[in-house]
Amino acid sequence: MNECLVPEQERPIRRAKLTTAPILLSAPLVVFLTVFFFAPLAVMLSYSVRNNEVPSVLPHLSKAIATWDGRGLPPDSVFSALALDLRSNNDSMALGEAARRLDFEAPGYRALLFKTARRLQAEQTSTASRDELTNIDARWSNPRYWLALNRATARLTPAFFLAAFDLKIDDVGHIVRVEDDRRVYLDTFLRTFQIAGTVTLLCLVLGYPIAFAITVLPRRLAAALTFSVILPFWTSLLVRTSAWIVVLSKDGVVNSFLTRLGVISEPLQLIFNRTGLYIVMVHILLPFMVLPIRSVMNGISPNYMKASASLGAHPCLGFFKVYLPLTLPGVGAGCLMTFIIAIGYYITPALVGGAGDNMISFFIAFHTNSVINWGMAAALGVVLLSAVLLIFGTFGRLLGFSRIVALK
Amino acid sequence: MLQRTSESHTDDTPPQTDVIVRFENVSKTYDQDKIIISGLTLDIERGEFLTLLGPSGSGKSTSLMMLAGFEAPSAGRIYLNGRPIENLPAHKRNIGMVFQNYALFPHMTVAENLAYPLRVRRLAKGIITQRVNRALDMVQMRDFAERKPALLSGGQQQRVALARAIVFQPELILMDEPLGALDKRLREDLQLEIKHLHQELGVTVVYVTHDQSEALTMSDRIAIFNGGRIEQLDKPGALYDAPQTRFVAGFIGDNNAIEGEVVAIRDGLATLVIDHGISILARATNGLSKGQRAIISIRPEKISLRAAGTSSAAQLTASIRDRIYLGDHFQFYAQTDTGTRLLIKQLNVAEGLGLNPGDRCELAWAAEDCIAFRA
Repeated sequence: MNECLVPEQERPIRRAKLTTAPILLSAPLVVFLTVFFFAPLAVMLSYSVRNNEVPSVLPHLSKAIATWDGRGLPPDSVFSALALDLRSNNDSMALGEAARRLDFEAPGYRALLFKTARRLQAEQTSTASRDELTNIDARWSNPRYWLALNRATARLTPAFFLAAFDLKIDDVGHIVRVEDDRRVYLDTFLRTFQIAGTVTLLCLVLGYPIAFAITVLPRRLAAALTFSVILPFWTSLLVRTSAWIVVLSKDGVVNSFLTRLGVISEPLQLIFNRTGLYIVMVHILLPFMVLPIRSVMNGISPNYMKASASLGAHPCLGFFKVYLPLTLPGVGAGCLMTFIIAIGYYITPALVGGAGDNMISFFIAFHTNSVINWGMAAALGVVLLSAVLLIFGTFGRLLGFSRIVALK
Repeated sequence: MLQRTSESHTDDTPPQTDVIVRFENVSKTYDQDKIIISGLTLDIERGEFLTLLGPSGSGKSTSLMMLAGFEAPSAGRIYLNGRPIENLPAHKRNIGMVFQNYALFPHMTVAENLAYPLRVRRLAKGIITQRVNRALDMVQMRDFAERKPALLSGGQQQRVALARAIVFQPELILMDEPLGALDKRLREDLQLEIKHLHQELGVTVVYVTHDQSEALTMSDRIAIFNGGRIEQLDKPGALYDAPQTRFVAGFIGDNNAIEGEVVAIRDGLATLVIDHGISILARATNGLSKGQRAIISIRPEKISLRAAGTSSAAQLTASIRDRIYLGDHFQFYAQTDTGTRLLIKQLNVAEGLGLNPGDRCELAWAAEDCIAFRA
């Protein structure tokens, strides 16, 4: 009897000790990832705080302005350093980058800088640099532009991150909100999370019953259902999205069908708005919800529900008290996956969403490809990445990391 | 209990036995043609420990599942306390059940698992705690109340499963190979424990197993299933000593089978002639008649083994093929001159132990230990 109370040996999954073989086997991938993923990623992310456009073009000024206390106008040495740098500049491309960077700090700086450089290079005078500059443009006697120059020459800058939250440092050094008409990122972040959240919820509501059906249906039907869920995986994202435009447009399949049935008299606006975005994103992301839930459900012995019934619980009660809690790891993994993927969407919202349905990735792409403001793109990217890691960490704590990455 | 007893006496059940479950001509077929159970009729008496024993696919588990309400009979009726229950859903049957792989809810602690059937029945909190503790005490698992099932050993999990099946005080408990996943020592300990629990609680237990020694250890009666029907329903001793079919004789315990032809039947004793014109006396079972081919069945331990020429009552002569030492007894394999192989068990205090492979020997037995079945 007493021997029975001694626990039998637990049987944890045997994991190989860290030996050379697995290290060597994974080495090529590690090298590949380091060279082509981690290193570029780190470099890109560093752009979010890097600030060397101005110092590389205006080296003397950068050194001189570092001695300025920021009060009033800078000393003469700073004026002459700027004049020296601008006069000796012969790389208009680099100057353009510095000008764009400064424009980001104080609008209008671009024109000011180019004008000043052109005038300085055109005429050599012996007057003091301070007078010379203020003669070219009166704005050089405004401390605002010198403060902007001061901010833009610091090695590291918080400006991009502040901008990602619609904040900036004003001329007196306080962190303030940007002007109303320039506040876009906070709203976009909120919208991104809201769209991703709604899509995740819709996927869960639709996906959970499908996953259950796949688990309990006879083999053939289950295979057919799984196939129809996975089908979107095998089609290109663009093709799928375009197909939806055809299906959902004003004279598309859905509208003409509903009109013919007499359900609606006017065609519904199903595409190029939020509704269309939800329909298309849910369709694309559904497999990411269904598959993890199904894999968890597959592992739940039907004996649990039988046990629940034998103990006197109605099947409905049994579902909520026994089955649902057992599927939660799958639900968590599915929601996490769907949400994280949804957060990064930008082609689909751009194609099937309305004017106000842009998600944050759109702006990242915009800053990367269109206006070449890599600092801003990197800062937005870091914020998005942090949000994802935060969510992953929270869920990981709740559900266990090994479950999420399907090691268990 | 007493009240129920008098109630059921007003039915057509005989007054001396109190039937709790009755299978009446129950059949189960899958896809119309695959017959799992055919024409099963079985009375389960209140308070007994009944084991359904049989090889896999014999229909014993399906019968249990029909009683539990997880399978519906294709034909026939099942009565619980005189009421037909074929249409009663499982959760309304109030039958406790222990599953082979325990089916403890992994997300609940041991105590929560036990409280589940009581919460479902909306009992007061104080009563729930009291009953849970009492049930845990019965299986000596009180100290583990706050553990999750995954942290328990197999034997401990099975104890908890037992406690969960009795905690809501059902009068009938079903067990579906509950010890199948445990090692031999533990299984034997738990067999006794389940038996004690049964005696203590006075509940009716229907137990499914394919392990005959388990069935012999625990049961009041055993129903031997084969091919979807009951071959024999009897007390363990009777099944062993007086099997009614060749299948039962072969399934329970080891057995020797010798083929022969019936030449006479008198007073329940049949005279059979086997090869070489040797005649053997054996108890005749139902359906045996003169002129038929028959199988003579004899238990290995009922055969006495002597060196050739030393026995006066020898029925067969044979030569020893193998001699196996098993501690408390020896097993000999002997081959008769006609080629029939026989297994003989001798306690290691018996005579004839000095015989070695190749030795000639004589085999003898009492006529009443020999049973003849229709071939």
